[in-house]
Amino acid sequence: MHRKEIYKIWAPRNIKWTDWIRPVPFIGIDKPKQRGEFINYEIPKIHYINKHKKNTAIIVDIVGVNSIKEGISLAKIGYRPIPVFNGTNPNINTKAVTDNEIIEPLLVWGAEELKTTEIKENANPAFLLDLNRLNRYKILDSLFDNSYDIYDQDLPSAKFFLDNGIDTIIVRSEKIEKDLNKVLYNYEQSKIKILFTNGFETPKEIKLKKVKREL
Amino acid sequence: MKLVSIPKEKFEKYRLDAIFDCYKWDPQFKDSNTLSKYALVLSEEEYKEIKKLTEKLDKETIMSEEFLNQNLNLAKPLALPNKIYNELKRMNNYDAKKHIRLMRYDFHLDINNNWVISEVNSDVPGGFAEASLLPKLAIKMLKKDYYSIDFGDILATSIEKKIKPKGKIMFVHCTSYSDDRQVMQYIGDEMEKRGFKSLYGAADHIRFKDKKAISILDGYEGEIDLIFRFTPLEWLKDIKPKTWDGYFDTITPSCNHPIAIFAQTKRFPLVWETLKANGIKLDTWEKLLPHTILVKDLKDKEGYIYKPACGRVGEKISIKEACDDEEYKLILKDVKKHPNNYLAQKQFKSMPIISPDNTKYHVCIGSYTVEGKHAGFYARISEKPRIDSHAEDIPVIIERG
Repeated sequence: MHRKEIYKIWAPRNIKWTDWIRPVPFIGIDKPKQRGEFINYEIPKIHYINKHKKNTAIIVDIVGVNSIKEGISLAKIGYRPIPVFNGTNPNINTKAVTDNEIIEPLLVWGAEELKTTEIKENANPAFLLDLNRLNRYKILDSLFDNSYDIYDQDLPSAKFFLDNGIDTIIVRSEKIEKDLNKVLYNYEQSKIKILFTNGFETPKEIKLKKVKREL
Repeated sequence: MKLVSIPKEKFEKYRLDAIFDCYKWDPQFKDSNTLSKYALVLSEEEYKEIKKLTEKLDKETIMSEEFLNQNLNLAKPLALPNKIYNELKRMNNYDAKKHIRLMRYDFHLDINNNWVISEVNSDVPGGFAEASLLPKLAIKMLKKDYYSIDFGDILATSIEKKIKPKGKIMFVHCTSYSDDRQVMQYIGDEMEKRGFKSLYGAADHIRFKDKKAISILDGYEGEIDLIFRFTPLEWLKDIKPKTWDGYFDTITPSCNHPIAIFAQTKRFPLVWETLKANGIKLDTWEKLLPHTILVKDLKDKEGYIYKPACGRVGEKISIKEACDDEEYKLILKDVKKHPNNYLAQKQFKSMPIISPDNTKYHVCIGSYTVEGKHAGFYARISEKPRIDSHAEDIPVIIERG
């Protein structure tokens, strides 16, 4: 499968939510790679939700490789996985602060899984984020900084969620990261309930840190 | 000027090809789709008119900036940030012939059917692939006798003429932003096709020795042959430690050289009287840019909007009908708190054009120059009269005859 076919499986047209899939990690999929890592493609078990809920969306904010695998698990219970990965890659032979390229084989694998997974047209979204986006420590000035933040422009507005019957968002992560807090705070202000889970415990409602509105 | 629809049955392919073949990696901004389902068609007459105005504007801008560079004391009303102002004297070795000057003038049509410009993107204009590949894709979908200007080819050819064959080019950008990278990657790939080596790095991946630019990018250390900068100067100045001052007096060819700062600030009109008194003609600028004054001089004048002096992509502009209530209040509050960061500009009434399905769209046509010559178009449309990040990118094509 080539990159366009893979993208089309993840982002079928005229299906709600798929417009938010960022094309960035799909762009380089066809380029030759020399990678040696072993990737475990086992689909994880989901402990914090066992079925699709009509009023609930999910944001998975864990390491990208695991985020995609968890997205496939969530697809199996009826959610629409929406990868929102925005990191670029350095020139060949340049070391970078984070490895965004490792996501690409997972997207290819995920497309194969999605081909045989039935997801309803009105399925709610599970946005997949990569916690590695925040690896921005530069041990040397010469490294390529391809870390990035999530901004409110990367996800739907609170109004869009509410207009589509979603009043609850479960965030599955280790903690609420600062960049995501800014996005979620706007949702909370619009009366969307934010629940948090570390992946094992039952999601519990949380109160977000206050964010001053910027121009 | 009119809108034509990309055939409905072809739009899915058009969008996919735009993403993967035309470097449109950001087709969504919050709830807004940023790829238009139309193409913008200019008549040849309109094309020639904009081209002529653009080249006249460019001539005036280049004369102004070169004059200000030699007479820095006259540039004080521009109120450039101190960190930048302090480096300007380094630019006295500026030689226009060594560098590549790239600008984009943003044109709008007003309700009297006159062209108006809202700004020049003098420092780091973007939209390269949208101005080069997207029109070709649209023409392929429309299958009519249209043509387009290939901005990328013109820019790449200019670069090619200024540096040695197979030279190394550093595409300097904010490496955390994929929407910056898509602009750099397009022109970088064009240069690679012509045999050059394209390096992607941040502003602090360049250091300067004997006024020459040296890459410290891991794996690609050594002298480079061209700096192609997409990091705005007003962001550059905040880099710590200060490794950026060499950009101002480097002898390595640059696109753009920091001389671009004089026209980049929206305060540029505040030095026009001085420039004219020194024999520089600014007739085209005066004809096309709405009257611009300091916020403190606005007093009870009516019909003005506020614009940030260092604004980009339409943000923080107080067009009431284009802002939500909260945003509008926040802008006014900010203007009150920091009046010197803003200008007051006479608001022009933009004339919307009607789409084939009867929706009104406001249009902004960015008209590029490379080395003083017109080099193509990058357009955006919006249902609101302010063209900002929610606007849709639209290819500009030209109808023959």
